[in-house]
Amino acid sequence: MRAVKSKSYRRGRIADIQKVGGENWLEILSEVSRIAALTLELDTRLNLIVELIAKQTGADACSILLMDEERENLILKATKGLNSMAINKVILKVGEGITGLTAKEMKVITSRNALNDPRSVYFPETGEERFKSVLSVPIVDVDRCIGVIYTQTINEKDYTENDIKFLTTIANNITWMIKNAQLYEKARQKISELSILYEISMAMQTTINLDRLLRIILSCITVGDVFGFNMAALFLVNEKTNTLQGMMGLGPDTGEEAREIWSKLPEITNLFQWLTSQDDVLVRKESNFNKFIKSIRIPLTHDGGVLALTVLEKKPFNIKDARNDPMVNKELLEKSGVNSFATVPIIAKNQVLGVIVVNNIYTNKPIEDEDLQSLVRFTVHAGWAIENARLFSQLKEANKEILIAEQQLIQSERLSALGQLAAELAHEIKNPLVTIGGFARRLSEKTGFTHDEKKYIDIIISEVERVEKILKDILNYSRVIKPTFSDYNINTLIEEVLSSYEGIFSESGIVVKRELSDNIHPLHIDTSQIKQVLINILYNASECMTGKGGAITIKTELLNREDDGVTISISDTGGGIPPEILDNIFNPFFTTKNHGTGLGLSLSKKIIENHGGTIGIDNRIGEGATFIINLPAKQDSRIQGVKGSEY
Amino acid sequence: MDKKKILVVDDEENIRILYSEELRDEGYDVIVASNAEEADIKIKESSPDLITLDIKMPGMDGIDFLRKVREHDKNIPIVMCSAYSDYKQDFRTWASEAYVVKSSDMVELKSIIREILKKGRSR
Repeated sequence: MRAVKSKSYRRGRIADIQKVGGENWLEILSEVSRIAALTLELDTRLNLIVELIAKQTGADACSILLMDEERENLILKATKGLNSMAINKVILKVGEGITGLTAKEMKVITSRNALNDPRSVYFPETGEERFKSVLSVPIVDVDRCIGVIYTQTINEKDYTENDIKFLTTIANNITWMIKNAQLYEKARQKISELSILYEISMAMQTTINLDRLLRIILSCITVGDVFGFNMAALFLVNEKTNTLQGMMGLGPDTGEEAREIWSKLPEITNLFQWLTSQDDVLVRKESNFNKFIKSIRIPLTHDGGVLALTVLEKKPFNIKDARNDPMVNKELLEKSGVNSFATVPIIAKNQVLGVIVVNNIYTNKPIEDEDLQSLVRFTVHAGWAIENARLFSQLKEANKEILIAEQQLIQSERLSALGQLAAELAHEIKNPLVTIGGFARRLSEKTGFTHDEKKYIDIIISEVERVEKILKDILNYSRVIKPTFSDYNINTLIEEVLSSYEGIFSESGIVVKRELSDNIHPLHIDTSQIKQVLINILYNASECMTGKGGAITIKTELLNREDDGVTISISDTGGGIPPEILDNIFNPFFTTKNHGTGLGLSLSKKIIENHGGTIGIDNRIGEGATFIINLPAKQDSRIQGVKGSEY
Repeated sequence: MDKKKILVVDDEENIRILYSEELRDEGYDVIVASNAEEADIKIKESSPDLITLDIKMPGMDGIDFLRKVREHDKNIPIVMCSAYSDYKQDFRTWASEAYVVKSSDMVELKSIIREILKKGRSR
């Protein structure tokens, strides 16, 4: 049934055409169909049609205007006879001029002398002043006008019913061609966008490094083939501070720089390859724009401006006149100098991760809502990539912490094991040492030895004493040493120490300088322990200057307030402590010397801490090191109450 | 006046020699034992006036031997002599008269022995 109906329908149409124009018209219609089969490109189709109609009807000009998406304006899309430069430039409102009126009323309008027709509107760029008569026919799709086709003649012409019927028939026949081509165009754009999004997604998946990922995202937004915004900036939400934090800004600092960069940009044939290979073509970490963006912190409150609102309301904003927009933060506006921009939230798992801000400051191209929609679609992918990178970064951070904790554990276990080993060793050595020293003492009490023999025995006794002292230190180290406090002037204690050691230092070419403050009041300290600390540090200082001489400066001064205590600094000119060993210097059993237990500084630290004080190093590589000891004036009752074992 | 008799109990021969010589010089009679078992015999044989007792010894250690001696004799003065200072806090050593950490300088040990013997058997 349907086939029969269709056949009779076609027969009727052909009969109509034959009635108005004879066989020539059939040829024209068949030509129109041929054009449709020839190409899917809208512009090409329209150009071929206007050319065909102008030729076949003898009109001096034939043009087609199409309605825009908002159905507010007609745009000149193709012409034969008018200035082709006017294509896409001539835009007239529905209802404006003869063609506008045709679209509005959806009826054919003819004018014998359009030049004198009050309905006419002329566009000088088309050069249409020379045409007198016009026949304007609406292109109708069911019940709405999608465009206008019109012919013009230089000489005045009275249009016949046949002329009108012919153009109307053509208009009816090209409706589907236009619609087809428009759908094709849209599909092609979508496919192109999808393909770009695919390539961008692939590029974003190549990295989990947040910095690099942000660079890829901003490159996508600013590169001409994709979105082509002049500048783009990315902000991320800092949940701890509830602020929006500027992470990266991409774009030239000046128009001149913009032209230079864009002229140097190679034509991008493979977006994926370009995105994943380029690092610094567009991104200059030091650019003023990047620095400016990174300095921005915006509170996430409703008065935080449009960027904060983008996060809070989870929607994009297209700001066309920032100066007069109450949502825009005026301070940021002044600094950026941008009057129109758009913001898009970056969302993943229904949470806003950040905001992308774009502008066209150099080209002044308005940001269309369609551009913004594409950007929104893009940020969905960007959001997931950023979320992944953030999760990865958190994981990495957690792993790092575990690693550090593990290393600390290994270190403390190592020290503990070493400590036990040292204690065991100390006990094992002790018995033979007691006998060596004991018999040496017995020998020294006997008579009849030569002077040299007596000297050797004394050396054995003093060396055994020294080793016994080291063993005592080792065994003491594992215990809290209970200090016995008394009030003592630290300057006096320093002088006592120096009186024993200054002579030895001077033999090694080391000068001791004193900068002792007169305002020092007595400190509550264990004098023998603090003396031990001073000796340890002075001994260390002198050792690093052995053979080359130098100076040791020992200085005392009051801490900030009188009741805060005293700072003692001991500086040397031994070239400083190598950075690689600085962290270990207070660790027990750490030593760079061939002799010694590595307990001197470690024990000193313990003593100072038991006094409620602190010890630190000001290390100046190539110059020297200063040990800084801060001792409080009075002791904390807790420290005095520490129960220790006496040796 | 009879010489006071001191029993030196130590597994290290050189310590035994050193202590013996030092204490003899001080005017004491010295007998030695290298372990708890031997010391037990020497106590029974010679009834010493004082014992210096090492702690770390093979077989029965000084702490167990101290307990064993105290089971029969509450009064005999015993001076614990050890390279370890830690046992000083061990309550099991509190049954001794004194605790001395071994040192090549024997002044402290000699002075303690002198002090104890001067007081006589106080237990």
